[in-house]
Amino acid sequence: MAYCKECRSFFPIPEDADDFEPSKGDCVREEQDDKGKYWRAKPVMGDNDASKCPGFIKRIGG
Amino acid sequence: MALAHEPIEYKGKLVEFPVENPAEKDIPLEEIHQHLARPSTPRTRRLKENCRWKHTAAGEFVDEGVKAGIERMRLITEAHKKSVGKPYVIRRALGLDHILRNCTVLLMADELIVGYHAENPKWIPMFPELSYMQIQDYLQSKYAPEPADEAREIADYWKPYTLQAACEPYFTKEELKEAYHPALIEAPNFANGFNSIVPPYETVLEDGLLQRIALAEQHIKAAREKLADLPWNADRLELTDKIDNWQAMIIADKAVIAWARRHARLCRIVAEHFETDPQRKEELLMIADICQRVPAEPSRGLRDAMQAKWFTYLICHAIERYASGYAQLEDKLLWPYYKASVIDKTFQPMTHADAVELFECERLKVSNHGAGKSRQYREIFPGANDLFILSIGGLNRYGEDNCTDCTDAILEAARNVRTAEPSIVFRWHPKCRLKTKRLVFECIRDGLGFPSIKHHAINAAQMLWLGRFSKNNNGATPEEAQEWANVLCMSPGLVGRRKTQKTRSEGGSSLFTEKILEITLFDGYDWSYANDQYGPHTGDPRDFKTFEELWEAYRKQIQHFISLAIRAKDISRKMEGRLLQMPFVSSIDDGCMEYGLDAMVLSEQPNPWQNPQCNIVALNSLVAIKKLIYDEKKYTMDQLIAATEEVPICQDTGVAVIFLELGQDVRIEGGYLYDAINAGVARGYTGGYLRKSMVYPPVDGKNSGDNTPAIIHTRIVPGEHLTITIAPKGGGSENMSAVGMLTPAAGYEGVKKFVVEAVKKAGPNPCPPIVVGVGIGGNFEKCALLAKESLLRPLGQPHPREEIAALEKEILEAINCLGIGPQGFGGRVTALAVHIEIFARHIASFPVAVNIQCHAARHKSVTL
Ligand code: SF4
Repeated sequence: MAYCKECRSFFPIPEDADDFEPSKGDCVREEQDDKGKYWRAKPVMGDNDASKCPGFIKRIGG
Repeated sequence: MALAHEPIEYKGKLVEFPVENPAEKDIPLEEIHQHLARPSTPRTRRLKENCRWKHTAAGEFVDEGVKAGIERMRLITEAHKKSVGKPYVIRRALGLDHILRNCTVLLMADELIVGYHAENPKWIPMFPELSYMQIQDYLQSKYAPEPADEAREIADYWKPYTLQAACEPYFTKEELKEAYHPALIEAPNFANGFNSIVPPYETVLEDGLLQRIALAEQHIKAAREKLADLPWNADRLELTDKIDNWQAMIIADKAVIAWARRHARLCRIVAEHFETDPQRKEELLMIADICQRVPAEPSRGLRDAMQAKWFTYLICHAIERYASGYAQLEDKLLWPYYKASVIDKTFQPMTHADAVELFECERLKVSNHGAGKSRQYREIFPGANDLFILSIGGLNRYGEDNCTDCTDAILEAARNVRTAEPSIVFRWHPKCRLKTKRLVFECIRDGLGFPSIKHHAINAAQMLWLGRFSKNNNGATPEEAQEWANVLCMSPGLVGRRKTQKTRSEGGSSLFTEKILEITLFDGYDWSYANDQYGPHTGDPRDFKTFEELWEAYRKQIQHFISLAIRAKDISRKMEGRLLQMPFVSSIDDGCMEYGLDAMVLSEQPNPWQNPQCNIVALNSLVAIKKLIYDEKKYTMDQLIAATEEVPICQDTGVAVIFLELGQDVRIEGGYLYDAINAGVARGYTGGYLRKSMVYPPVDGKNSGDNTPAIIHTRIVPGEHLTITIAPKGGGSENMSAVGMLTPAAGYEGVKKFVVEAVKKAGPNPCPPIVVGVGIGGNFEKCALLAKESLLRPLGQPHPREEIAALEKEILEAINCLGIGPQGFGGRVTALAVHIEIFARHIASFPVAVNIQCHAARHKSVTL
């Protein structure tokens, strides 16, 4: 099974952040609509099941 | 071409009004707006081009893709379910906390000020805790949040917990019916969800939220010590509520800091992992640094202040609760930071031009903002995404000119970027410097439609006077009174660290005095809109002997409705204090912080504004009634009532088009039938005070004075009856008629193309929504008559032949895709129906005629 923490869009939340929780991260995605590019961040847990996520791209290396 | 005023002579001098930019003289008027727009940098040009506008027209969002998001609804519902049993103010704080820690945060290309309030830059958030009617309005629309089932479930869950459900039990069914009428009073905010606020931005910028948290903690500590003091005194029980309020403030402020810092993290991640342009990378890292520091810490430079202000705006107006407006005295608020960055260059050093760019960015941020207003409010603010009005100019608290280079930067940005929002109020005072006043007039000259100009001193005096009625004897001081800003569109209110208005139930609303006068004339009965009794019975004015009796009846009606409006506000406010607390707003108000009170409960500076809309209409009418009916006795009240009841809905009451069906066995005696018809038309148009539109000779003639002659079409039919149908036809729609001699091979497609083209060409001129009459076949004059006759058919009744009915439907759909909309304001309803009549044709001809009827399609038939 694939997990969010293995995804290229997953960025772990640093320990000194106000919203730090072990294994929690930001899912940061670049998006585009007819008005241009934008980026969105949503909190996700690293051990979330990513197998059905269309955005999942496995990170290469660590 | 730009219009310049003719020179005028004044005190012996010739004053000229040259066009400042001579090139404007050669630019067509319809293009001048875009020529005058000159965003000052490539960034603001791009931001304007790529703005995701949320404007509405005729109640609909204009741009594609705007819709309601589900995220806020979902998150506040999860928090509400999880926090059962906790004090309500804590539940509200936990709701905000849950939203801010779990919502999507967005970063748009090119921006210098970051932050949005929904999960997609084209979407808008929903507030299911306010009005269940408003949520239903969205659920039924094409803007409904998705997934639809989940949205419906959330709306059902909230119904008993809404502000609306909390307030309604304190009114009878009859009273609610009156309060929800759209044209007597502004509907209660518990029903429409509409709201306004003046956030006390100053505390956020000056103190930072960490300091506000520390203050709340000190208050809690002191309160706990007092609770433990010996001997016990029951007066201290109120401390428990205060502790809850301070606790809620802490939760809210911590959540806001965490949310701002999520933006910081996003900017950093994008800079380090996505962005390839080194300059933008730098910018993103700078923004990341700003969002890490503010609003947690005090702002130190203009970039800090602008970002902290925007975050505060989003929470107060669009996340903790919806509120319209952009109330602030912006130049006063930002001047210390402008000075630090632009003049002293001690922090975030920049030039004046950089500051102007930042203000342009702010305007575009506002233009991009979307409000989840109910349909009624989308309809009454056509062309706008919401009401955004900031104030500038006037005097400062020491009575000195408040205008600075910061004021000028705000005006220059408005002039450069040319967006409708935010609108600006200039507080006029003789002491204000000329340079700034010139800029104010340049904005007006350029056709922005703002700044509006309000009298500084009168409004300051009003603040002082109203302050005398403060419930806690803490109204405006003479210094604070100088610092007023528009709360929403009209009423002034205080700005600053405390005493600002936190909710619309504190003040500001509308009363429609002209409609109330209309129903006074009918004993409280609304015959023209709702066809029901809405006001109290105040008597039949035809029985009144004096004007004073009418005045007394009107006074009673006004008293009835104003009491209902204020009661609705007060009950809203009471319930807002129970279940719609605003802990973040409380935390940034010095008064709420000091007393441990929620922002929905503490009101220090009263605002009794209740805008009497259309007062001029009501007063003019009363003056005319007094003069013409009671003083000069030129008319009677009977005549007025009769004329009022039968008033036309357009000034163009048209040509009298008459269709006669004359039975072949009928014999007319005693005169010429056409004379009788013309006499009837003359009597109707004269006695009914309808406009007379007929002129003869047609090229350079005179008005006949009684709207004759009628245009009469006679058909001989079997039988012994005479049917007379009158179809008055206005000029605006008639002028958009078209006749085409198509080639016989054109077929259905050719007809469709011809009709749709004619409607497209007509645009808003025939006063859509229209009825489109089409004649196919016959010859040149026959098809025109067919088109006119088709308009007599009851609206929407299809043609009996299946293929023609199908063609009617197809053409109607195509017309409604043109987007012309009601009165040309855009929308899906351009035509209400397409009616086709057909006749045989010559093999070599294929005549098609289009005759358009405006939405005032009134026909009447009698059979003798
Ligand atoms: S939600 Fe999808 S895109 Fe986001 S981190 Fe998880 S797998 Fe990747």
